[in-house]
Amino acid sequence: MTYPNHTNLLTLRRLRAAALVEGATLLLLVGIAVPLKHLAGLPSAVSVVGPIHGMVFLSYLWMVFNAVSSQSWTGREIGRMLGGALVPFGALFTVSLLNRKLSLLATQEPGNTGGSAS
Amino acid sequence: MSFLWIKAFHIVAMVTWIGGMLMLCLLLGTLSRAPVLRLPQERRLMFMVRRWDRTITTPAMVLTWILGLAMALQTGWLAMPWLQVKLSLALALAASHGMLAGKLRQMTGDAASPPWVGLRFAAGATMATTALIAVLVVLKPF
Repeated sequence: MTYPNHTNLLTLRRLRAAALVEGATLLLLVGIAVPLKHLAGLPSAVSVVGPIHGMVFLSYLWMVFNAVSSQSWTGREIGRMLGGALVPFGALFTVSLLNRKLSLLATQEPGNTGGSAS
Repeated sequence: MSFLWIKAFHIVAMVTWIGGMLMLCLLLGTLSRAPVLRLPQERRLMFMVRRWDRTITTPAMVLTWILGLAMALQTGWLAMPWLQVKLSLALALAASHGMLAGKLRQMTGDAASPPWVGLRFAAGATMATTALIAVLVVLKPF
């Protein structure tokens, strides 16, 4: 593969960070803002966290498709990446998938015999 | 900032975003018909379009979304079905842009990367989605 592994590694690391932020904002929205709206009558929490999560979700979606089109991903992996963004704690699964892909790529780096992907 | 100013900048950002996407579609669509080995001038053009995409098109997409969400929150349109359909179409456009940018990055970095046949239809799909969005926004049919 002549396409530089370094660029792929960078893309996957950014995607991993985006997955974590997306998971965190989804948890904030579903775990705190929505209960505050319905149980405590405070809709302002949703109107603040909702758009923030929307923008983070958009960035995540953009980055998933960006990574998918420039690297080899299976349909199942793409499904996991997208599905994981829709359910609370789904980010944990997507991050583990990305960690596996990162480890695999890191071992393919020229002069690298293995080691940390982070 | 008043609603009309936000709307004006939203439209400017949207035109910049879609214009950049169409440029990407046309470049990648043309390259997908060409031999896999790139000429130096083709590679230079790819680098230039990639730089334009990073510095102009992608920030324009982000600005379009921020201003669009600001308008939707200001007007309370988020609950309306036409806007929800429009948001889904805009998400599809954003995903498509991510895909095109990724493909260009791959093709720029790897001279021998095989082009993707679906790229030939990307410009048409982008135009059709944009047209649908425009109709939804103007007519607000439901």
